[in-house]
Amino acid sequence: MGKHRILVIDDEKDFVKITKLNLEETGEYEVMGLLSAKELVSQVHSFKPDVILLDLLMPVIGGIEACQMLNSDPIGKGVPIIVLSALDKKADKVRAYKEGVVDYLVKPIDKKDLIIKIEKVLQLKK
Amino acid sequence: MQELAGDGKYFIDFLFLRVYTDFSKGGKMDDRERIQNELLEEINSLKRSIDGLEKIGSQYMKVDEKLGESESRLSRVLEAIQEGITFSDEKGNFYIYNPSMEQLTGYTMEEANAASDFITFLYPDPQDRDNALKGVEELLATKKSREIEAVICTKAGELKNVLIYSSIVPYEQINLFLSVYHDITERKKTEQILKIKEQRYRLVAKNITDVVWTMDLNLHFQFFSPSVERTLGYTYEEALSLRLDQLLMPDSYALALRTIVEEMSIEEKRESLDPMRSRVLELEEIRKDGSTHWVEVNASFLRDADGRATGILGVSRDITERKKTENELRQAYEKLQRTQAQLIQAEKMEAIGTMASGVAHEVKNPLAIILQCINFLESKYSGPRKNIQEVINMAKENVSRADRIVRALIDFSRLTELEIKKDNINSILENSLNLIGLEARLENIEIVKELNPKLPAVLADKMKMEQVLINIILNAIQAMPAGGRLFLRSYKATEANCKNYGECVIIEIEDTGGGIPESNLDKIFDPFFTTKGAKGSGLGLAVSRSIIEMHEGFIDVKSQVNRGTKITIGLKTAKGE
Repeated sequence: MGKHRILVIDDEKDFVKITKLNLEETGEYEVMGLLSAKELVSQVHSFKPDVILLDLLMPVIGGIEACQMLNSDPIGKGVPIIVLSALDKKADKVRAYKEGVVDYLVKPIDKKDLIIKIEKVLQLKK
Repeated sequence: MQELAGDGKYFIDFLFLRVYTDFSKGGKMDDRERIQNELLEEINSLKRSIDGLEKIGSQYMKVDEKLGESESRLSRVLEAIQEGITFSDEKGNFYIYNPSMEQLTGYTMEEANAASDFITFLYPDPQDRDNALKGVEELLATKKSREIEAVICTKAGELKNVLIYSSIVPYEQINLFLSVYHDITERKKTEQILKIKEQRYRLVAKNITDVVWTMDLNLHFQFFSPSVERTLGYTYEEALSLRLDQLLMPDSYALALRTIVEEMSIEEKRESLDPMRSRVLELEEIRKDGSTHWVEVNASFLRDADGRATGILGVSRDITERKKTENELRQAYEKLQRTQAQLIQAEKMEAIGTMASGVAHEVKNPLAIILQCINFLESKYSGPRKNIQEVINMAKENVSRADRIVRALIDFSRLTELEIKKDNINSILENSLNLIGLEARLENIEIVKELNPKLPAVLADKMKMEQVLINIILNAIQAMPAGGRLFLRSYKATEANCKNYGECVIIEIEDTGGGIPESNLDKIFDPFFTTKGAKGSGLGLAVSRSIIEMHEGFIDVKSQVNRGTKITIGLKTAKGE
């Protein structure tokens, strides 16, 4: 069985990079990083991720808008999204869940917690 | 009398004529001699009688002279006397009408006699006229002297008040009236002025609320103005028998005594003495019915001719209304200050909140990266290399710490709205205690609960109040690392400890820990102030105070180093409780 593909979208370049390193270092995941949601749909089409890790606060296209873009795409609609955000207000979480995200983690996130969540989502997907 | 003497001579001539007639009727010679002798004898006898009469006459003349003198003296007296004197008959004819009467009425005796009815002239008021006429009738009937007061109109048209004493003097078959007119116009005017003054005094005495009093230097009351009855409810006699400590509330009594002692010592020194100086005190007096009222007393010394203090003179003015207004004003001012402080606090919080919110997100992202980096390094260097794991753990712990601060900041920024409900503060306190009871036991801390079970409900956001109480109780527990006692009290506030917040319930959390240095006491509610180092965010008490103030309550701290700390919270009771 091949590696699970994880797409990370965050405007923080270092965050994308270290998340990619941490996940790939496990040998379980193939990670693609994006610094904006601008080409999200096309990248989803080409990369075919199993899980999307999405930031909410991003310039130009925010996380919620990105969710809506994916929801309106036949392929994107089926990809589970885990939000990784510094925002921890209930209202932000509710908004995200309304757009169909499967989980919501508040930064900073320990690697172990992140992997547990990803595995849980992958299991649900199965 | 001369006429009377003249009459005597005529009588002798008459006798002589009679003898001569008898003789001429033709008697005998012897008879004639006898008759002549008899006649001569008779004439001599008569002469002697005449001499006697002449003597009497001269005596009469002397009496007459004396009478004249008396008459003249009487005239002089009548002239000199200031009262108007009249002597008249029933028909109104005046026999005596002295100059003072002329002066009083402006009419002469001739004018008075010429008037057909002088009373009509004299009394312009029909009532007075009737009284005068009735007076005459009464006098005649009773013969008793009487006194009437009337207004007369003088010839010049001036009205004068007179007091008239009348008496009746019977003379032969007629009655004469002696009247004395006393001009009382000036006296009446003075009486009128006095009457007005008295009316004013009565008006003042009736309506004045100030009480004027004096006391001797042994502090025995000597005098009270009549207003004492109205203001204190005591009669004048009762008030005089009052001791100062019976009249004043204990604090006021102490203040009054202190002031008197101060002033007496100034008197004794007699240096730079201002004899006119006075002291103004606000004292609380006890009325007869037991109620109290506030007075402003302006007191000074009473002095003898040498300027020595002999007593105390005071004026007590009721200032209950003023006190009430002052109190209301002070309460309003305190409320304003509290509101202002809350506004400032709210503004500060809003600013901090806005900043915290912004900072939080900015800080959280690098923290997220650092944590991920540490995770990465951890996976790479988890081998036996010395200190690597320790350093990694240290880095992780500090990321957690930074994250706690950021979360506390975000919590702090979210203190906006309360979910206020009627609740029992004891149950909130018990709930809070349940959450941390285990920890308290572990720390060897004895919890002493003194909770009043009959407390009125308070208006509170249960969750937020639990947050406050847990925060404070945890602080107390942490202040007693070697164990101790934690007192939890709840009771209904008295007016004194409710700080004009209205009806409220007090919660006290007191520990026997190390206490807070005085220099830190006014900072403990400031955001980011902490004495716990890395363990505290410095926002716990700041958040607690904000929550209490949002409840329109108050939170106070009292602390003594090495004795412990007491936090007092006041919460408003629900209406109708």
